[in-house]
Amino acid sequence: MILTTSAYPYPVLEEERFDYVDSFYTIEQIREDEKHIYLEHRLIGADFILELLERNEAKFVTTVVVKECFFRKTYDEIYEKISANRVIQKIPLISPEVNHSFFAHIVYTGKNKSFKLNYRYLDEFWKNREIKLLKGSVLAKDGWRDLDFGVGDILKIYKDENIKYSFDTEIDYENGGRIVCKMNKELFEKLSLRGSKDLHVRSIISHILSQAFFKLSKMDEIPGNFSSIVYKLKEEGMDISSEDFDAVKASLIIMPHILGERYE
Amino acid sequence: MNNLQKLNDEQKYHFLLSALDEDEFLKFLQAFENFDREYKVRFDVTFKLSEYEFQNIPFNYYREIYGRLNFNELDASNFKNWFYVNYEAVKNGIIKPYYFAFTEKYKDGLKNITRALREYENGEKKFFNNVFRAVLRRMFGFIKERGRKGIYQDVPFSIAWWKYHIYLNTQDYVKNEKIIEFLYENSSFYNYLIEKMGFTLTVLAERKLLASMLDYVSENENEIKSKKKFIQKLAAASSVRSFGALSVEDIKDVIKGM
Repeated sequence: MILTTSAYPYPVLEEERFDYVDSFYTIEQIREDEKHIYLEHRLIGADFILELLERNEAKFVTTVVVKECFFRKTYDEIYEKISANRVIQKIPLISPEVNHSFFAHIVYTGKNKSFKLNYRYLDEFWKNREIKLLKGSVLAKDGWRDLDFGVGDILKIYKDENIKYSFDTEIDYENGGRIVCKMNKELFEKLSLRGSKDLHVRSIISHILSQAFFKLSKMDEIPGNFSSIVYKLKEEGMDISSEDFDAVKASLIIMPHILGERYE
Repeated sequence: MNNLQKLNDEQKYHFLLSALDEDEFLKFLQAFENFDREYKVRFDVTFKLSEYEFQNIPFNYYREIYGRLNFNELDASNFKNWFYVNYEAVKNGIIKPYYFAFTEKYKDGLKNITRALREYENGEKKFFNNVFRAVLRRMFGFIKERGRKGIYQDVPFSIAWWKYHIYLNTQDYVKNEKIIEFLYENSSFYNYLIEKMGFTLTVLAERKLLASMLDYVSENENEIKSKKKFIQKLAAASSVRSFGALSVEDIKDVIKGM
């Protein structure tokens, strides 16, 4: 059996976990500008966590990671408090050029102590059990999400609410060229939730690359940033400008390089 | 830099030969690389480095290097910028081009190049290629071979910049000047840390956690038997607790209890 959730000695509210009933922790990106995004955290049900929030023994936080440059910081400032179970955070961005990953969660900040659990929204398993919470314990969490989904320097995927289905792929000629993919909102959110990584993500990226390579193969001049890809394909016996160029095969050859699997 | 990574053997020979003379070296780089619009980096400092100093730049130079470059974290993660910094450093006489040719085992760049050229002329390519790779690693991390790790672990000016940057970030949370000296003296710890926090364990890069950890380690260096195991324990503890949401004092309490 493969477990997709971690084991905790106390109840945690998380999708695909059954510690709470009729309870949800939702995150919505309600707006953004060049330098910030605004995230709305909302807790529904989960009366144990709500009680801790009301007693100021828990708080909503968001961790931001930019892997390209070792940036990782957790923000606990609240921009707007709508109610104890609903707040908005204003999260600064390092640069609109890089991929930011976000991890929103609720953290226990009270003293290390024990609790006797007797709460309506807890699963039967936890009722009347005694648990110990340590300062910093994660009480509820959303998965890791990406603001946009950057894959290497060459491929950038953006959410676009105007795209009704699937995605559109284009070649951007600026700054030496890169593949820009505008993706339907629902698909983007599935892609950006790290739980859906691996096969699903690889399959989508493979489709995007196939489309992009097909477009590149029809161009008179290939933008400079793709020169190492063209070189790699040549090493594999493929000529991107030839009439029988196979874009699907090329995407499978290049994908591990773009995903950085050679290096990391 | 892409072109330098694709040189054939004869071109590599001329490249190494050029490293014996500043002007020839700069001319070679100009001929083989596009100094495109990204070449905006200007770098000059008030000191000149000896070859020994270049191999582990003394921490009293970090501040000036950091201040002159005016990079942010993204700039400092771009291998092209470090190539330009090194170009400027040679152009402005801060270093000699043969300094780049040191390897882990053989530290004398001039001797290394001379030997590499001689062996190549006799049909031996192993040492010749090692020295060529060393030069690219010190100049911009030779990312084709080393990946992004090369930028942070192989380029002396980049290492100085990142150590000072990490130190500066810690000072937002702890006041401890020993941290900069600690990072300078413990290169293997720095390499291990930067590899983990940039790739598999980004949790270690959490600003408050990193500050608390470096504060503790620099003060209690002799009591920690294995710094690598210490980092691993801290990373394991971080997996179930959100240290970034706690105060530095709280994090230090956890570290002390480990």
